[in-house]
Amino acid sequence: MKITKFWIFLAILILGIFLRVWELNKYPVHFGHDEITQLYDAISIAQTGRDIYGNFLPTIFPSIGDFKPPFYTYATALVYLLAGNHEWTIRVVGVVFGILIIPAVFWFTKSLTKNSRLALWASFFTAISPAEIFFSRKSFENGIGIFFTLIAFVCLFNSLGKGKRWLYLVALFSALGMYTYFSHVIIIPLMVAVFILIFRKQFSFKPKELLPPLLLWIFLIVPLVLIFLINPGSRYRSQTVFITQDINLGKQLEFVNGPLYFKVIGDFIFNRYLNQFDPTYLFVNGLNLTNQGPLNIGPLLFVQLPFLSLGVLFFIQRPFLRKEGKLIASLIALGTLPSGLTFEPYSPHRIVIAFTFLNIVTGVGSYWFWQKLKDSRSFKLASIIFLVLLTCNVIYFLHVYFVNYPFEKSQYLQYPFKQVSEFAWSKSNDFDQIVLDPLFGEDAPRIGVGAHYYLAYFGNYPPSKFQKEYKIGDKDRELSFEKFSIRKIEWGKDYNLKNTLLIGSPWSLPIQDIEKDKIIRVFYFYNKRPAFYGVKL
Amino acid sequence: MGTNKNLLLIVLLAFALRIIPLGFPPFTQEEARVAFRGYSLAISGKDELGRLLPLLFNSLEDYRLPLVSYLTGLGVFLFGKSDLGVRLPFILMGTALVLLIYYIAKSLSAKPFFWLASGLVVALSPPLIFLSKTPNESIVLTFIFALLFYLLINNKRLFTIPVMILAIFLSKFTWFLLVPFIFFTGQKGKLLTASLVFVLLALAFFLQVPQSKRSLSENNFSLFSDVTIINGINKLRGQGIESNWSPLLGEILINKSYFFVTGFFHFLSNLAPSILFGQFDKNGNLGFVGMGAFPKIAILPALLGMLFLIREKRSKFLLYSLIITLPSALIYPQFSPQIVILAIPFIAFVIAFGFLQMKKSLSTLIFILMALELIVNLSFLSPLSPQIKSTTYIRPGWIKTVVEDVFKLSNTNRVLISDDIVEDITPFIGWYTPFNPSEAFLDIPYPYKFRQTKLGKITVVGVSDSFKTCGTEENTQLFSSKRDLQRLKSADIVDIEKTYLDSKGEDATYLIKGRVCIK
Repeated sequence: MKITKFWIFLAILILGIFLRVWELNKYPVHFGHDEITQLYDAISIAQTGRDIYGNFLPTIFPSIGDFKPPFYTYATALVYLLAGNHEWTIRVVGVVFGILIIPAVFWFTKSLTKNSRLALWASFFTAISPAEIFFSRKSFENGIGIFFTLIAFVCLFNSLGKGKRWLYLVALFSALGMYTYFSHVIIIPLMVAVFILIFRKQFSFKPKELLPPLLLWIFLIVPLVLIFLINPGSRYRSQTVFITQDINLGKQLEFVNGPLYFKVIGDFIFNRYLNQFDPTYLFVNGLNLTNQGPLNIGPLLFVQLPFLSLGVLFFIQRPFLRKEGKLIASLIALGTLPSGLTFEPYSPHRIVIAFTFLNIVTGVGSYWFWQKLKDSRSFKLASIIFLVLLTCNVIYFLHVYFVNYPFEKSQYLQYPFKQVSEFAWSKSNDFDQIVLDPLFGEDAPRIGVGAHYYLAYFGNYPPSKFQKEYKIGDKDRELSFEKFSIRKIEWGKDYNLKNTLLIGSPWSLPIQDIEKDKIIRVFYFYNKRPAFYGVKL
Repeated sequence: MGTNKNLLLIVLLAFALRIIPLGFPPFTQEEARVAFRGYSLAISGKDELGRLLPLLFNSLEDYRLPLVSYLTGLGVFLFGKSDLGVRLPFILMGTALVLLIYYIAKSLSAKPFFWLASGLVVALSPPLIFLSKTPNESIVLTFIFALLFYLLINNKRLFTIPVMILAIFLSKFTWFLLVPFIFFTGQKGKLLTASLVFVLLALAFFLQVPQSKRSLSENNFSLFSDVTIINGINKLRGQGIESNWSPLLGEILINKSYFFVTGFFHFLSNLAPSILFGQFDKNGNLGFVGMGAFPKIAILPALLGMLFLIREKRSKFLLYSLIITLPSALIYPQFSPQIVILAIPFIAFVIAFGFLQMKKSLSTLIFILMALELIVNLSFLSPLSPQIKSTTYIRPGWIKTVVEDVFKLSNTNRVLISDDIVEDITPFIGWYTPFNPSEAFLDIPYPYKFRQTKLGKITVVGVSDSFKTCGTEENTQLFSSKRDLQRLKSADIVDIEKTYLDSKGEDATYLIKGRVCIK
């Protein structure tokens, strides 16, 4: 890379770092379920070698019944050991890998196109991409897998010209990627297989050359295979997110039986998969950060559309890039598969890798556009228009992300749980027991299933003690430790409890009927609407 | 086998797919209205409201232009008041479209396989099959724009003018499509001017009609009347101010340009791959549930066709699908499958170009799979199929039994019927029974979204009507919906004599025993 390109790359990287790190301790405004559970489990692992339920070095974390893959938690345990306990500790791994994706995209694109300018464009769009920024900042494990996948592909490209030793690195990085996220277990091997299929003529290794890296790969993924074969949690996880859980599909299946049953499921999967390519979803509202219909944010900026289209044309029109075009199209198609098979209509978090490749295609299109324009008279004008549109679009995204999103999605954010936990601990000496019903929400009730994690973490409660104290109670949804009982509040019965602090939302407590002097604290959502009430009995 | 024989087979297949089974799909309220109107026009020259040879007709959504109603009237005039009479003109038009596509294909490629493939893809397109079986303007519009395309690319200018005039009288969408379509096809002289003049004349005349502006605003420019966008702008700006962001920044970033952004992406979404190959119409109204505009496997030749056209520097052809669906950008938030259908022939050509890039054995296999998917869907068309069940409210075939009983009882009684049993019951009574149209004539010159509530002795009961027990001299029968049954129960005047089930097998209508009147 020449000096100028290096400085441009550095500027892109700094921009990417800034967008991912700025005010990271404040935004996202809440400490999400996934964050608190992984952080507290990571601390538990670091201190005791066990998760909070006492499982020794688990290969899959039961967490809040969603059976999380292990990589992020162990990586966070490492950060905890190095940096200590801070709320931002959980966000470090996501952000670091979110930043590392930028150079990884550069290397991948350079390997793909042999053009470092084009690679700069691709890394630029990765640096400013809403999906990449959003998921990097929210401690999401998918980015780690994307990083390893891109590096594995760089090694694959290198193996074509530089020999078999690169194949060992392919085995290592692709295996690591598979440990990070459930869907990566399937799609990373498929992606590698597609690469080998497309570049089969250049991939001219003899079987005996292939065997050692293949054995290494198998060796590395054996524990993962065992997790899937032995651990019922992983199967449970797959079943709970599979498309058959979709309400609309369920309604259609009510009408059918016999062979039609599978036809209806097949039709539904195909349609859902194709739905992921809906332009409105990709460019306008796919990230779903507001409740204002089209005034929303897609995984990609909408100014990307013309450049993405040009990128597609670029690959199609260049015979010498035909294989590369096929590869990137296949990677996008495969990367989108998980969202097509799961129960949510759109699940951008499952297909971030597809957005990464779409950013690369956008970069290719922008490069082409720039090449075509740079010698023309309208170059300056086009540059200004492009920069203005792009800047407005990026600032609009930042406005929605930093300002509107916390307001708009307030009732879905676990923002009040920190206040609730800190208050509960502050009052723990004043009451015989503290009952928390984590049912919350404005329009509809939802159960905050990670409430015990919040209580334990914000009370600085030692994980080793939690492992011993934690109990599943007899009452509805009851978990307990110390004085805390996290369960459904049944006002008719609980009304008679003595010296008890009840914390519940209006879904659990008849607030209008409770004497005002008994309500000792109100906890608010980010939009300043009441979320929970503390009631002393 | 020669090309002509193959063509004949394809046309016969298209005809068979469009005519069998003749009674499928059951009519929507709008199709039943057109059918009944056609009957009324055929026997008296008056529409269902008693207006002599009008140019603007009524529907629950909008004004309707005349061509389809008169075409239906012609069918009834020739073949009587029957499914055949009403459906045949559209079946023939749908079949003729296949032939027309074959001839257009001849102008696009020299390869006979391409001509046949284009025709076959159109013959197997589910929405084109559906819409060829019912009285509606979409299939006629598709045919007419395909015909215009044929005439324009073959320089048959003499015939173009009358076809343009027909199109103007067919649908308001034509008024927004015609000029860009003619321009895009490369006509910049007299034909373009003529199309512009026709459109301006049509608009000028239309704007003289009461409620015309409302009609355009609600049905053709609903993007701008949709309050969610403007509300969203205000709300997001307000949150910015609350968070101490500059109001000016809010105005720069979040403003009315979002109407353009929204319309543009909404327009593209109308042509999303999931619409074309996954699920054409979410309600299953204009196609099979679980099928797109084309069978699923057609996505492979479609992709190959696109690649071929781009590589051969013929990508302009791909833009026809966009040009012809332009009006959908302004119709928000709902999708506009009735406009997207116009793009199907052009996408069919792209698919056919894709077939040209394949080995013959693979093409044959894909055609077999396409036909197979269609056959599977057709063969499950029993009354118990998901297709019939999921469209029980939109296409209520079961309503025939209800309205037949309503009509029978109306010979001897005054009959009341709830207005929420289906979207609009009156067209079904008119079409499925020997009801005499003249008994429902009214004096309304320009009915916009007009809902009839009285057909002779039959009265449609709304939520604002309240019930009482009839006096001894009143002779009234009530066909009640679930809603009105609840109201009767609370008034303690309910005794069910007969229950009618919908296509899901659920209670839909109740004939109430004893005499119930409205206050």
